[in-house]
Amino acid sequence: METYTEVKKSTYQDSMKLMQLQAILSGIPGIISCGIAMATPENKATFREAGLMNPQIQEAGPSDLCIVFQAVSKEALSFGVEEINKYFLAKRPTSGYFGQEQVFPKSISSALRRLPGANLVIISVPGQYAALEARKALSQGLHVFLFSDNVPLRDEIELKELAREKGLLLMGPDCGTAILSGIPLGFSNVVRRGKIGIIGASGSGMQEVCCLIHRMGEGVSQAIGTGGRDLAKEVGGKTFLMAMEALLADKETEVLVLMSKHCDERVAQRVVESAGESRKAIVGFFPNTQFLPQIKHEKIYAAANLEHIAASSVALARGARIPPPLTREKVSEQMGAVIQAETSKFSSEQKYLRALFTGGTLADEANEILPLFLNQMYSYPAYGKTLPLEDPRLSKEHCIVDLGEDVFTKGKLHPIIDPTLRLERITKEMEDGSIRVFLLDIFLGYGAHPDPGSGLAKIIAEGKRAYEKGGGYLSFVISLAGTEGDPQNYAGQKEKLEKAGAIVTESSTRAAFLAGLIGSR
Amino acid sequence: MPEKSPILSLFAARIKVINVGIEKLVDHFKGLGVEFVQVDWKPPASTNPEILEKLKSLTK
Repeated sequence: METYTEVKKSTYQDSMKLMQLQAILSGIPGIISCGIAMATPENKATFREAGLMNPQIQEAGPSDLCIVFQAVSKEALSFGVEEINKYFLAKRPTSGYFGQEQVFPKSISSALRRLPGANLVIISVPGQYAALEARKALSQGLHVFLFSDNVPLRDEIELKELAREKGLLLMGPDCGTAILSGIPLGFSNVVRRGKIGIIGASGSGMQEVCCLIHRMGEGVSQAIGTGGRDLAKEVGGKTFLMAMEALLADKETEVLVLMSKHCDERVAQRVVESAGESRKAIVGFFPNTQFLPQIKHEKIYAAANLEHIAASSVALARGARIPPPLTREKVSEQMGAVIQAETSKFSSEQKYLRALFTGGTLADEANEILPLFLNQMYSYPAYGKTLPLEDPRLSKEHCIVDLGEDVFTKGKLHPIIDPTLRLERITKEMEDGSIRVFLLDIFLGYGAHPDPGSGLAKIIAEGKRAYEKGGGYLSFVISLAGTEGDPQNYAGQKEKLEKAGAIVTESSTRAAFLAGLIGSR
Repeated sequence: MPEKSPILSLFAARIKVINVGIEKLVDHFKGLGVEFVQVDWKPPASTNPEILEKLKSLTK
């Protein structure tokens, strides 16, 4: 076995580029293992755990890039070295607008001199440094989109207090999506501009709702992400409150949507009540709380699920009556023929439903809906009515897994960007012939994989062929979040999946109900 | 909220971005005509938590 180590001093590369380089190296035949990371204490521990530590890496510092890989032969080793050299010789991307190569500024202050009038800083450096950069941005009067996670709670509280003091917007930490005045930030979609303003502590939920609003024919004025922890007791909804104040005063916004994942009920209630005597309609979605229906305010409405958030806000924007939410009876009635076709050829070995999600809020939604159909569901992470899955890497019986959780994404690209992990998992799970239906979500838009449909369509077709050969039938239900403006070509992605035999639904909510009906038949 | 609050001003303005970190996050801006500048960021020389805290307090 041959080992190669290189330490590039003072060479910071962002995490996504490192993972892309790691994927390139891992794909070379003969390369057994590799580690590519900045030499921070945490990453050094990871090198140690992987058996890749050596004196060169030990000496390296957090600004130094470490590349280590092990190969079966000198030849494989030299292919690896060639790829690394090719990667670093490639031209650096240019700064936008100027369109020519130049020396990049080394700080927010010098960037501000380079781009006077800059009003927003996007921060995605590792969590332990992100707070410092956010503070620098706010101190210089700039709004912040803080994509980084693992920012300490105490820092989040202090930063949000500073933002409040200065009247600035701090979206995050751990904010993956937003749309500001028509511009998608982070993972987000091309969505029509319109009357509905959204504030969300729930990335994939906001994306799904924005896409549904667009496909239902309305539009979004602003979609403000607050970060997943904003409605925790300690943070007190600081970003939510500032965003509310702004959207209530914003002339373009006529309807507000307030949505989150699990939150502190009192904080959520304070946020909703801060609307005071405003005449603007508010649709609220705080899944683990009970307070909304108790609020006696003619303009405040509680949504039952993600599709209902979109349908309600669209109806209010049009001055129409809010439709009732989707129910299992309604889906059963509307999709009877589909359910019959999907369930008429199961073999006796086929028993289970497997839900494998890339969006955490959609996994949470499935945790609410699927137990209506199936007893004894396992889930990772565990939630409410489901049982905890012991090993997140090993599905069991009826099972829901959020593949965006840290255990899967540490040192790896998020499954919205790299579908490999989910494709491998589906392939492995269908091997024993015990699956009735897979429930999956796909997100299109900026930041997402350029063509998630192709790889998945191939696995779907192979799976269906294998089950048919064994005298059964394998069902796939997929919710496709996106719009016709997204770079991946929504219609083309839908066609690929449907051609392979999947049922592609209009919403994640409908997909969950449908999969429950198919899985429990 | 006063008419010219910083957040309402942001809603009314063209977004102009300073990107600190992952370059892929601003990949789509050129096509959308969004002006941005990439910071050539490096971690601070020290990872000593006390020194990092001191750095934070200097920017208060």
